[in-house]
Amino acid sequence: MPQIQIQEPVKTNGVRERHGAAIAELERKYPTRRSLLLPVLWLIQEEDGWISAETMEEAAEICECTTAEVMEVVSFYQMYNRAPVGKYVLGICGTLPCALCAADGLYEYLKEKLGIGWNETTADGLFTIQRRECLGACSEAPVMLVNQETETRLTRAKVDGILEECRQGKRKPYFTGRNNKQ
Amino acid sequence: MTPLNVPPPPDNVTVTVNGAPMQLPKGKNLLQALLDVGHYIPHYCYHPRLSVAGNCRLCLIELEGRPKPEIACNMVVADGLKIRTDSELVDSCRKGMMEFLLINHPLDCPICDRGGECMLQRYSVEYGWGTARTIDPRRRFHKPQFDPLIDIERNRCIMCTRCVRFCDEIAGEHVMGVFGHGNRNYIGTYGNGPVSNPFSGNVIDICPVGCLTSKPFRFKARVWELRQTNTTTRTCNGAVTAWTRAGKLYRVTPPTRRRHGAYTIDEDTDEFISNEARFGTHYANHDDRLTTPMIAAGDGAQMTTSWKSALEAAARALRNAGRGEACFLAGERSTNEEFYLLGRLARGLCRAGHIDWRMRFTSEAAARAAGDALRASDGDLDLLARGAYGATLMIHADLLGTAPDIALRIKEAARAGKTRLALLDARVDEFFGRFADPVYLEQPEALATAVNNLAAALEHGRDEAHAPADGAPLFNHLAQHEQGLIVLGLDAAGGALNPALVPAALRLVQALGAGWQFLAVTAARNARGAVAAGAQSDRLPTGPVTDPEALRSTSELYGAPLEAPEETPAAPELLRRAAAGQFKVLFLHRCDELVHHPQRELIEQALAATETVIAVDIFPSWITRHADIVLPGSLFYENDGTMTDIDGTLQRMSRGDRPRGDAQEEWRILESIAVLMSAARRHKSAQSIFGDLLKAWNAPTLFRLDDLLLDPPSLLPQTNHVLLSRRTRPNFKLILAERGAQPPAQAAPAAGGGLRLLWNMHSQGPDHLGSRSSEFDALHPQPRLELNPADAAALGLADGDWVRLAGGEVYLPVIQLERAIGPLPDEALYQEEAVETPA
Amino acid sequence: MLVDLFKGFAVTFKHIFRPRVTLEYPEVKRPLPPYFRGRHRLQRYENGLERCVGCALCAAVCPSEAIYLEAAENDPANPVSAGERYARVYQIHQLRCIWCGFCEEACPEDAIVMGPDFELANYRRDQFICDKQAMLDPPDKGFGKEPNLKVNTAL
Repeated sequence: MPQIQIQEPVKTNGVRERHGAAIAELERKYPTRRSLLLPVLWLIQEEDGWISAETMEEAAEICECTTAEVMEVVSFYQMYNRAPVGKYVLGICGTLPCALCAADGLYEYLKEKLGIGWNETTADGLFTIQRRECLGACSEAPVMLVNQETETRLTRAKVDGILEECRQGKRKPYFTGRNNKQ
Repeated sequence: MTPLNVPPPPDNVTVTVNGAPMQLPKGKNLLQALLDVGHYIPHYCYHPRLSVAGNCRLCLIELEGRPKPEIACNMVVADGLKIRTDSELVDSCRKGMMEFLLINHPLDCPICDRGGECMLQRYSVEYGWGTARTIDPRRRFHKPQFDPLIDIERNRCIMCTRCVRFCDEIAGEHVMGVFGHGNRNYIGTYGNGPVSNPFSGNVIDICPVGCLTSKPFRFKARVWELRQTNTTTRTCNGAVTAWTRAGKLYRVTPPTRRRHGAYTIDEDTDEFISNEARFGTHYANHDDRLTTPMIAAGDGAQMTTSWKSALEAAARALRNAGRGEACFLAGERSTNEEFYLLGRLARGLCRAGHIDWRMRFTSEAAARAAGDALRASDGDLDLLARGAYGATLMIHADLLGTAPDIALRIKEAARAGKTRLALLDARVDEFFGRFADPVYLEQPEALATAVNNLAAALEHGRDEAHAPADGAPLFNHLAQHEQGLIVLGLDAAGGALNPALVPAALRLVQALGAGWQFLAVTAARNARGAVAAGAQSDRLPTGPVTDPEALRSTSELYGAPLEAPEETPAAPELLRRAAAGQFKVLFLHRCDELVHHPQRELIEQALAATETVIAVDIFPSWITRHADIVLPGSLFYENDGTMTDIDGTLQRMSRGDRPRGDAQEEWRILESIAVLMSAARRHKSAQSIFGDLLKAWNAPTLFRLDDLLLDPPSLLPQTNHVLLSRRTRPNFKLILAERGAQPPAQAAPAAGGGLRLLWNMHSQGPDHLGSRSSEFDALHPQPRLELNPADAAALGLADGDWVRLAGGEVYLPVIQLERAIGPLPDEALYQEEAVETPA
Repeated sequence: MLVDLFKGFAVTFKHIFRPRVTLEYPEVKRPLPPYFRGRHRLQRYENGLERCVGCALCAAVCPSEAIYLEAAENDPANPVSAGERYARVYQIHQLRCIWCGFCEEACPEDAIVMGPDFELANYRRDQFICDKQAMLDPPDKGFGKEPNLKVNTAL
């Protein structure tokens, strides 16, 4: 009878361990495991702030699909981050009505104030600027999404106020857990 | 045997195309129907064997009653459709779409390998603008490392998603995907890893532009410079086209077709070939070819000689051999014509010479069982594709490893709902596992018993009441269908076929009734041809050797008197007798399977004990070095002949190039020896030999189940209970590290054990031809250990761990390889101490 | 009759004072028109990279099949041509060539041009097959004096 010698098992990112209960709840709601993909990815992102390669692989196993399918979904939707982000994600609308109402100026102003460009994070790890597709509030342009909250009819003063609130920690941060930077 | 019910052809309805009424089959895809009747409609994303995506928008047509043009690929033929494909609107639509597709396409046709067979080039000539009207810079992607065999150039991609759909729908898994969003879309694999399936090479052909191209063929030649030979390989089922120049093989593709005035790989090719056929055939360019005849010069040395003296020496040796002293071993990759000529040499021209082809099997019983199974094979994969078989059961068929081209056809039928697939096997991979229901896992030794019990239950009646306690779903699966197919794998155990499995499977087919057919599958390329052309000890081209009528008609064909042999030993027995020194002449015709045979010592003894060894081969090996006369043969595009696929389809092998050096086509060699031995009738071409074969096979179908004489008392084990164990859906995972990874320096012993190792040999593996292919490494990754997840969990193993078998410092990859080509005990199905699958 | 004689001599004397047309060929050479189609030359970019990317359109268009070409992939660290692909082997059989200039017209990279060299005589037939190096860096005098000419057996 052959004896088998082994190595320590590879560590996973522990999506199942951390979100096991929530996933079990989701399983009840959806007809197939494949349809769990979007909410499972949200669970991951709400905690980590972004979706790493390891979590993507684990999500594929949870949802019984291939890693390529998970990658398709993650890369299709702009709101899934494939790199670590700051505590507050400023999503500037990049579509036409906002552009007509000086969304470019909004970006320039933030860039000047925070010293970062598109998809960059400030050194203190607080802010990230991202481009968003239409946020559905075109009548209130220019619009910016601060984490999950829509801020409308933005002016310089209003933006200053929002940044200040964030700095003081009055707003809910983008993710709850550690920001897994690797 | 009653004819099978094939679904009737669809009704035709009248459709008006460009003002002309015509009859088209109702419900058929409109684009395909129009293409079939010869209408020219440009298209990229549509492919007849893939689902409709409708995203290239190039097949727009004008439809009466619709305000806007419609895409033809997403419509079906309906009565009274009035369409126009030649109007100004249609033309301007195509022009507009072409401009859109070309916005980001780089202008690098001179360096693009697709140049000359590119659909974008072709349609640009017809509908292109000539100059670009855009002023913005073109979108650029960086070029990743992608696949060892496939090169990707994303800038050229037009997002037709054919490759994505191919991987998803045909080849197995969704390994390729469309990533990104909007105009930043690109195709690729997760992490830019390889396209991990054995059919990945087909994405090269179905890509309509130069995005996915072949790495081995990269920049080697332009397609218009190459000569195309429609032929078949000596290793894989199905037809291929060999693209050659000056005798050198550049690439192998599915068969080309004449289209728009030129032979090209059809962009709508409905044939897919495996990577084995596409890249594994590059052994053709190996420098190590035998190019001149050689004879032994004493002291183990060989010297080159002329064909005349080599052939005369061979004929002299065969003439001098006494009664029953000549033994012909015909390699399983020989053509039908070669088998026929070898049979004629052995039986007609040598006195009671022996001939057999079943060297792949290590025991006499296994070889005989394999012969029985192949003789009884009457299943037809074309019928399967047309939906004639309601149910299919695959028994111990490691099809993906042994006959990937056949595996693809069966899986496609199952995926398309043409048949319902069930599995009964010792190991199930995801390729079939996803499309099969029910799936039964069984210990390999118990498979025969399980099949027998199923058959016994069915013999009692088809009522569910008769179903075995443990296997009711499988019983119902079979009993519910009047027509079906049983597929039996002959070499899932690496040459040690369990002889009891064949009669059990045949009994099952008989118990199921006349509507059920049987298909034995083996990696032996031309096994069906060997049986049909009389290269098996107990078969003549016209029938069994025991049949006096068959003897008479064959002796007429051979032009020599024949006598019924007293005994019909198969190849394992012939090898044993050769090792005992019973033969004076051993004729080894393209015996690739002997080079890496498990019983190497036996073969060495046979070579040493035989006075004259004649070997026909294309590459040197330890066998040709031991041979007294070496006759150099030809490649699959240098030879004329026919091959029989595993489902009985005849494939033509044609000569497109001269054999390298002084080498000769095999049929010419064999015919020359026959002529030198006697004043026998002479064949001047392979076609005339095939004419003989056609005379011999005076029947539309080659084999029938009735042809087989079952011998239940001796072969069928007596069993009383069904041993089927239902498990959860199997989900085997790879356990060993990727190629290039290092085994761990320190590996702790685990409380393992209780597992047995099953050999799962790849059809080509490290074999005589395939290992000489320059793409061998990419096609045959390192050996690995596969474990049931439950066992892996019990042992604390995870994917990527290294495992070492006890009793050696060698880590598993090496051990498996060595053992696979090392000695296997006679008559044993699996190695005793070997590991794997639950105990 | 005398009149005719003088008429004839008049022509002769007229030509004596005309400029000479005949050249002392090996020492003096006739000026060539700019469109002259002499021996082929392969061009380089200013940075030394070859223009030819080995697309083989010249070989495809050549009516006498005088061009043999094998391409290969560039090493990005040490490129030979400006594209991904370059001509590893480029041979023109000067005895087959009919100097039609189609190769020049077909070339999408303006890599092959017909140069001014017309002194192609040689003593050995195999030296009429000229390879890439001879066309990239043509020798000053005559052709075939360079030793790096190979016979392509595949042609």
